[in-house]
Amino acid sequence: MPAISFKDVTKIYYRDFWRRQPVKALDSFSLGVESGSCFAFLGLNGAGKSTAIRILLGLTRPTGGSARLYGRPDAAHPLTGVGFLAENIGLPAHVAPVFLLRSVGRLSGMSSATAAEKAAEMLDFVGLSGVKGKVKNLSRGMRQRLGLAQALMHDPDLLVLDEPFTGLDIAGRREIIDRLIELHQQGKTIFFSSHILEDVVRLATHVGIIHQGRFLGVFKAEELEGRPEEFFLEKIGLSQNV
Amino acid sequence: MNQVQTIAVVTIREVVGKRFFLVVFAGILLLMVAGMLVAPLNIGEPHKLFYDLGFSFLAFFLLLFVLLEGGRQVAGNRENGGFYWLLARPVKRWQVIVGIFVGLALLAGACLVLLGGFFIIVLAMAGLPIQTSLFVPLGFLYLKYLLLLGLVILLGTSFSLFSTIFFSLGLFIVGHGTAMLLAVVKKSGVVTCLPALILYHVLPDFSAFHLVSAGLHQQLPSAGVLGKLAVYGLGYLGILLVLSCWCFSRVDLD
Repeated sequence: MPAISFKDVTKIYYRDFWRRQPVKALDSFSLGVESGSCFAFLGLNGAGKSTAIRILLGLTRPTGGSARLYGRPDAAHPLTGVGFLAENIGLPAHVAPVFLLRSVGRLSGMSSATAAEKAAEMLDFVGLSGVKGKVKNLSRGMRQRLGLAQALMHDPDLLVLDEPFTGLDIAGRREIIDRLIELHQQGKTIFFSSHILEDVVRLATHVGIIHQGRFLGVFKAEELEGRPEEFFLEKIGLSQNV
Repeated sequence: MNQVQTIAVVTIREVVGKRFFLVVFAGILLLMVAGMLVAPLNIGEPHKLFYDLGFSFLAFFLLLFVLLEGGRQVAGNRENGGFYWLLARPVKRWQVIVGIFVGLALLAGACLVLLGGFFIIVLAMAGLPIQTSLFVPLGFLYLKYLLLLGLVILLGTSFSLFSTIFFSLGLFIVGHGTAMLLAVVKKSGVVTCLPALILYHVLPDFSAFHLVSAGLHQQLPSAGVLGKLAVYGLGYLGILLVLSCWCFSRVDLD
């Protein structure tokens, strides 16, 4: 059974209150992601990557079709085995990182003691163990790492990461990629969106390309090696114009 | 229940951690002390002016707290992706709404107790009498702002932060005049009567909860009337929360 499946998912947004200007963010989008894979979801800005992820997690309702996690219907999935890092994750800014992670642990069903233990472990894992102060005082990169820590708190089998490398410098990106490779080697399924092709090639086993809401297919990551940009632009039909 | 409790605790910690909240709280304390200076202007009964001022400051604090924090915690988080980390785990949407409400209600209650306690200390320091009959209006003042909080949360599930605060404040002001709608109903003809009657029943009647003057002059309504008022307030609040949960369960978090 695939870890993630989208079946004919369509999402229409309206530009104005009176619903006069529909925009198709996803157009009959279908995709299956097998357990244990590290799947990169590629697309230009506004291609529909974040919309698909939000539909998958039940944060947004599709106009048509369905998205399932481990075969469970989207409306009913309990999200027990899923860790999520959103592109613009609005973590509570005025609390300490360790308190935030403990709360995440409690929300995931852990006892106070286990949540405290796990929070310390996760802060160490993402390199934030010595950090004091509130979340608002962290740099963008540190916040991203804290976001990854909260996604990993309950030891999920599946990680869904929306643009996890946004705002990170080269060293930060490399560090996060190394952590994700480690997690993938532990058997976790990773589904991430990105438009940094270099990182995709380093991390992913499979690549799915989406363009203007339409899914263009799944490819092996090796196919991108050496010429990721040309490959990507060719697939979305922009190679002639660039 | 564990989820609601955790969300309530996070909400409390998040609000208390804000400098703005502490500055407003300290400002209200200072205003209460300042009230001592103007109280003697009411010749003969200085404590009545002091009580009036004290309750006004309390109400002002609660109004700011409920509008700003209620708006930020729901509409603000909806706008800036602040619910993703909560909802991407085994948390139901109604638990988020109830957790936020419980957190803000407990914090508003704690502030009311602290400010009320400070008010009593200031009264004692000024040598003014402490009227125990004013504890009842204090309770209803709390209920009134819980109602407003319910309204802010409901609007926050669908509107932007600015619109939520704007419309909530508008309804709060209009809600102080709903008793007048009843007068319109009694005086007007059938055509205008029905819309006014519908509005009277739909809009919250905030003015009914203002019992400070009655308490100050030892003219509080009977226990039966107060009981009905409490049932009305809690019932209305319950409806607002149920509607909020329903709206939030249907909203797209984009």
